[in-house]
Amino acid sequence: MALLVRSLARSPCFLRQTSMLVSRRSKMATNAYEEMSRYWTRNRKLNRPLSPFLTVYKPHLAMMTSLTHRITGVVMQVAICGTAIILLCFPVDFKKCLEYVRDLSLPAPLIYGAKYVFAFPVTYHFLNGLRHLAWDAGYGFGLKTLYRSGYFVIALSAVVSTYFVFGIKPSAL
Amino acid sequence: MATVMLLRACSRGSRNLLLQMRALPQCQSQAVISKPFTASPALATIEYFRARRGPFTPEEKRGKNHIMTASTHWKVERIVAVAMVGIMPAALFIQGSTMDHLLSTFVYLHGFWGIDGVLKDYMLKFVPWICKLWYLIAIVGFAGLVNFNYNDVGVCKAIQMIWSL
Repeated sequence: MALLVRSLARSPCFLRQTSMLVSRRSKMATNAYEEMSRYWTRNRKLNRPLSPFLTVYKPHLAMMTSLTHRITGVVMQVAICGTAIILLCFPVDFKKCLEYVRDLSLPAPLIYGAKYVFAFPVTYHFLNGLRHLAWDAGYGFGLKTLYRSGYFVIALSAVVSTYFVFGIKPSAL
Repeated sequence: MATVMLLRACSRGSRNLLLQMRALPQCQSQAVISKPFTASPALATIEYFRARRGPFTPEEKRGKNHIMTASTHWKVERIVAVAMVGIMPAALFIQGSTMDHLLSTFVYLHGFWGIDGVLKDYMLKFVPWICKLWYLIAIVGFAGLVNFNYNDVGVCKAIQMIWSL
């Protein structure tokens, strides 16, 4: 009897505890997407300004060289993969394609410009890749060395890509 | 930054803390121009990129069914990169079918891991399946390259032909 009374007395608190647990669990059940969309609708309604993100950085050499390295890499891989897939879908005789482009007789600056577009990313990415491998081996992190190697890579890739564009001319095949 | 201010206040007294805190908002509002966010709710595509759907918990980020540890994978990437340092200049002097296959394999593999890294940096948190899609596209691309090396002139010859224009 006493046990029954005690259990009856205790049960409301127990129920309240479980209801609190249930409500807390349902609050935690919202996922990140719901929380973020709620955040954005609320801020959009209040017309709040965005905090500045990209424009607050003053560009420096390390950032620019790293960005160029990434951009040249992505562009080259997209070009290679895209060309490969297009050639797979539309098989053309490559020699005929080249004859067609040769017959267009494009102006020389355009040809040289196109060759630069091919040569510069490859040489820049290769030489900056050497810089990256040096970092992976542990050399060249000091700020002076970093800046010197960065300028050296830019200058050398300009020189080498100019040599590739103007200095190498295979005979018409 | 808060801890630095607190330490400064401890050495100079709490009045200076208040003075420092009042001085800061002024210099911030001068230098920074913030863009007002007035995008209309109609831009549903932008809405898609607001939310991160990508891996959140450490278990999700660790991933499943890895063939090797991340450090070993990193080593393999560097080995391929070092091999390319030898292959790329050699391709200027030695051409042929072997060089075609070597060049296309190493360059393509290096590029695949590169794009994989870029996608994981920027896209994975919004589109969790993007790396699988790139894997499929890359396989098709490699098939195209191998086909080009087999049934067409091959990459070395193709570059020579383009350069002869």
